[in-house]
Amino acid sequence: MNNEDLKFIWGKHNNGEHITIDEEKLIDYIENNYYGIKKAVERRKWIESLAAVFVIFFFVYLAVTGNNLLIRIGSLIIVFSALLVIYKMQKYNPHKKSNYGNSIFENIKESLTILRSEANFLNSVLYWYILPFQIGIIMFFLSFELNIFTLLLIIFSMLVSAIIYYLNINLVKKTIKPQIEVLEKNLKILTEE
Amino acid sequence: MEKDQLFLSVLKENKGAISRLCSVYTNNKQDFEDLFQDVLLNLWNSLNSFQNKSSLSTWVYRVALNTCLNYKRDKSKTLKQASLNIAIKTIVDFTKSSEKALETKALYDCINTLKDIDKSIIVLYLEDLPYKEISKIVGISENHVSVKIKRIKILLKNCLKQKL
Repeated sequence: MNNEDLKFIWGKHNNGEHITIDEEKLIDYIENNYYGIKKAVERRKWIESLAAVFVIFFFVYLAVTGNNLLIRIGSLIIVFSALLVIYKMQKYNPHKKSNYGNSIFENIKESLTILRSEANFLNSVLYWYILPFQIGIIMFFLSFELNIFTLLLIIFSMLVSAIIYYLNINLVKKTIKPQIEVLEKNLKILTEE
Repeated sequence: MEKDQLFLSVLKENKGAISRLCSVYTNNKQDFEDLFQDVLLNLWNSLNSFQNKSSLSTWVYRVALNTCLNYKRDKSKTLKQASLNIAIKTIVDFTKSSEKALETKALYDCINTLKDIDKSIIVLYLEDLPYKEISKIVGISENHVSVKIKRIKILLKNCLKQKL
């Protein structure tokens, strides 16, 4: 079988005639529904930020009016950590995609950069999300009378933090790292002589 | 030309090529349709960034192949799903081997044994694109493209010999 035979077999098989496209419906869907979903995601991001702003106002109020030092310091730490979370979340875009109009080589490199920064972002969740918030919450609870109820609240908050940490680390290990490995392998195949 | 008109003309001219590329990277009708839809959405989204630095067909191949290569990774993240089925219908399931002639089935089977990146390169060659265009789409030198195609063709022909 020569090269022209291969090209002939390839071209004759599937010329797209088996796909029918309703052009009007397609454009209508893309222009309305698709961007509608994107808008919904943006809206959700704003609602999350608004919730964080509400938390900030509440704890700023406690930091100013709190009747002991622990509640004031705890509240300030919570405010600081909420601001840090907002900043990090606004900087990080989980739906960011590489430019599909680039060459395959450039696209792989760009995708690798995105995935590596995603992995770094999730791997560092302990330092910018869990620890500051956890320290603030513990100080806040300790400012109240120490009894079984406050102790249970502290344990519960620590448990939630541990679950959040595990989910993030697991996502990196099970999903992102294998994808990085595939892209690195593809890049190696492309560049090897 | 307005964006939607340009998009539809791109689609009309390249529907066959997009369909062939998608069928190499999928094994069933559902995945084929999902990937085909992904390519269309990425073409639409990338249309604004098309800068006439390359020909429109080169750009279409780039978007389509990048989407195919990223398909598994992006599958969990995509915002759409299913709704484009209202506008797009696949009459024949070309991912089913019964729909293919023997030699076509053999060719597809052999392409399927290749690495994803090698698939992209050989598919562009089979689409009858000149090495210069392939080099622009893949992002490696023309010499490198010709060396790679030579190697992949040997693999492909050996595989076909066994199958036919």
